[in-house]
Amino acid sequence: MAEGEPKEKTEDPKKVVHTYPLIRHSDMPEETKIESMELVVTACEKHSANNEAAARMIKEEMDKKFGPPFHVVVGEGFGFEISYECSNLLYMFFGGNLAICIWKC
Amino acid sequence: MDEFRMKLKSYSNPSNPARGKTILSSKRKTEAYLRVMFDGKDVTPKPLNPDVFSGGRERQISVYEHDRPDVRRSTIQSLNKTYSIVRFKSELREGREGSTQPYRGSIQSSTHLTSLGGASSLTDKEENPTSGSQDENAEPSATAGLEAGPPQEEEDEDTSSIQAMKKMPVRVALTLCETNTVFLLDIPSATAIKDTEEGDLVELDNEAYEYLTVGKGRNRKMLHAEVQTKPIIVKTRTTDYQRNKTKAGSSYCSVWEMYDTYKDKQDSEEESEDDSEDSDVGEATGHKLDEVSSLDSFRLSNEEKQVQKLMKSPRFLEAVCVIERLLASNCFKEEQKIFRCLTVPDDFREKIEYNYRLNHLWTFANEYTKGRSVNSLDWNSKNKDILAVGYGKFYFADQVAGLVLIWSIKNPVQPERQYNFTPPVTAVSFSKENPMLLAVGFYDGAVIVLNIASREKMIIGENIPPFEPCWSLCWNYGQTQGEEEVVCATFDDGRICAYSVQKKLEPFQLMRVAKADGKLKGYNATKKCTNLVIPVTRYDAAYFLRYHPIHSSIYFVGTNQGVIHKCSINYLNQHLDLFLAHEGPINAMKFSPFCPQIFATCGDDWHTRLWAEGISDPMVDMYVTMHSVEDFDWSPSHSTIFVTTQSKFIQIWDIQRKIYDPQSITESPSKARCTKVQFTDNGNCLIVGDVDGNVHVFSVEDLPFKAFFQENLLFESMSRVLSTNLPLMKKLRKLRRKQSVMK
Repeated sequence: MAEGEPKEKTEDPKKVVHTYPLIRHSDMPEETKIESMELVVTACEKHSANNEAAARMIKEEMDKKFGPPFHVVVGEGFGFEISYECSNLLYMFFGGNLAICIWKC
Repeated sequence: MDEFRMKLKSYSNPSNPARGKTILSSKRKTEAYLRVMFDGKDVTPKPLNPDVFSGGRERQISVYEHDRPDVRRSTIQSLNKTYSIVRFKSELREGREGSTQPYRGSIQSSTHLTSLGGASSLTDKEENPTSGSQDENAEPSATAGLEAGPPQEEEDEDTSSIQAMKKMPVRVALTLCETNTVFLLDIPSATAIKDTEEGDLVELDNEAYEYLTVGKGRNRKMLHAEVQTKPIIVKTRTTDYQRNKTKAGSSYCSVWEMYDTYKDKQDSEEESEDDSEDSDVGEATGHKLDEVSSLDSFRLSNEEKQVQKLMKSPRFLEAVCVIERLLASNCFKEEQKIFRCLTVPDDFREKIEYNYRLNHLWTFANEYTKGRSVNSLDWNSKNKDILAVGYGKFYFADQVAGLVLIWSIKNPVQPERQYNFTPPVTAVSFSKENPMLLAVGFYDGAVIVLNIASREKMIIGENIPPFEPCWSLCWNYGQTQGEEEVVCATFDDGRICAYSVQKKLEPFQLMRVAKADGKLKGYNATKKCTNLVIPVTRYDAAYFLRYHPIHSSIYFVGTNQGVIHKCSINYLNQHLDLFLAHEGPINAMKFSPFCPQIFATCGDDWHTRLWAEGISDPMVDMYVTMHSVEDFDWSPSHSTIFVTTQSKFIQIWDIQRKIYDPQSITESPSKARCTKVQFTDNGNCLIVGDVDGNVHVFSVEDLPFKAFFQENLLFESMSRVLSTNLPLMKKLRKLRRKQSVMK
């Protein structure tokens, strides 16, 4: 019985909204990756209504931690074509509707 | 009157300045009312200022409200009583509650009314004591204002209101406090008082001074001593910063993509959970992949499958290569014979003409070379059938990826080797020692050494790419004779580096060509107009490097400013000599194969020039049209013949005949701008590369017979050209004599 209930919920996939951070693509070293991910989560939670502020916070922190120049995009729908320094790219999803792209060049 | 005084005193209390104003202004209003009532008509003119009007009414209320028979009797005796009662009621209805203060004021005004004619004197008397009473709590100025008031009272209300304004600041509080002390000037005393502690010290000091300067202490013993501080030892260290590797990526992010990603992840998690029970994960997914590929392979016939398998086998590829050569030789048999000089026209033929004709044999080109400019050509040093060609475009808006093709004359249709690269290829050069080694230079500054024995890209060495394009490459033996062969590369930032193949192309900087300034010898260029005191770059781009044909330690570097630097590998980072050869960039510099003293340069200033070593003036100056001379080459078979390319034309010159015009001008078959030109070793054929990616092979026909003393012919031809320039001719003869003596 306990198993039956959640199954019924998952049968309607449209209602399932994942909000946990998910790294879509990254070539960063493992430690950097985790640190950046945590920073993104903090920034996006702090400035949940203001993507610009979140992006600024991420960028400034990344510049401080790993050295400038970093570029950050936080948004819900965008296309991008970038050149980045190897092992300095992070493309992740967060909060169900936000995509964050961080790269250094 | 005493009572009045008391009332006035209380009224003129500074706490009620506003009321004081209304008292005075009210007087005329009351008069107005009264006058109207005399007429018995309700034609009271309304005052323009409603505020003042209401103030006047306020007075009225107070008058009627308070029952003061003594005053009222005198005031109202001439009034229409009924009317005033009606007014009184209407005022009451407005809910105005008369206070004690205003009505007292109106009393005063009402007294004015009673007195009528001689009112002024009466009010004076009334007011004066008031002013006296105000002295107790108000400033004198305020009192003065009050005193000035009475005579104005009968004037219009404006003046009275001004008077009221003056009254308003009844009490002004001023607080005085001390600020911090500010010193504007401070001169400390230079003297000390005698018999104080300070004075005693000064006296002692003065005595000591006297003793040392004029007293006995003047003749004290002294010793001279020296000491040297430790010199600071400095070291110079340089390092090459490795370029950061970058990548390009792109994506489109949207809610749907996010959803799919999350879903895929979830699915894969679920799958893996399921699969963990089924034991083998990889097999399931691997099977799926196999199914997809097998679907394609299923559609192919058995033969095609076999061909696909065969294509991977190197032995088959070798066989195909041989077959291709055989087939090509069917089509190009005659041309190949001409190329190899197997069908030389008979020297004793009847009709002999010197046409300097170019006969197009074939063109090295395929679908890959289309649109890729030929940037460099090099014949293999051992196998003269093999030609390496570097392709790629590096113009600002038009960049095409690089390509290196190895062509063989045995197969003019398809290349033997094909190596693809991302950056455009700018230079190729075969090693003289190991003919299978090919150095390749790129527009992004990278230099690699390939082993062309392998069909696959087999990179022997790779440099740490600098930031500037590599312009030319050449192989040479190292600094001391007998050492291993090194690759010398010239870069856009003026650096000339030697790379050792054995050390994985470790750079060794031979030279950096600085911008030449001041008056240079050589070609007498027109004065340039420059207003830049500090140049943008301090280094010129080094376009090519050419070793001296005799002295192996000496090399020449041509720059984009038209200057040729003569340098020695024994003196790093400095030049032995420099001269101006062209006004713009120099495209090529080549020594005559017959006389090492004579060399030629061509450049973007539309000219080709012949020079003799040690003579700074150009010997011969050749010019056809206003197009940059892209490349130049001496004929290896005839000392006086050379070829230049200008735009889409190939020009063959013979200074034995004339110098004002080329002997023949041939248009390129592809009608594209020619970039590179080179004779084959035997001098019978010519290869021309163009910006469209074609490499044309021509045979040079109808040339004059070879001279027996080629060098003599060259000198004699040049002397003839210089017959109008005696000083230069003398110099050339001197050089010739010197050379014959040395021999």
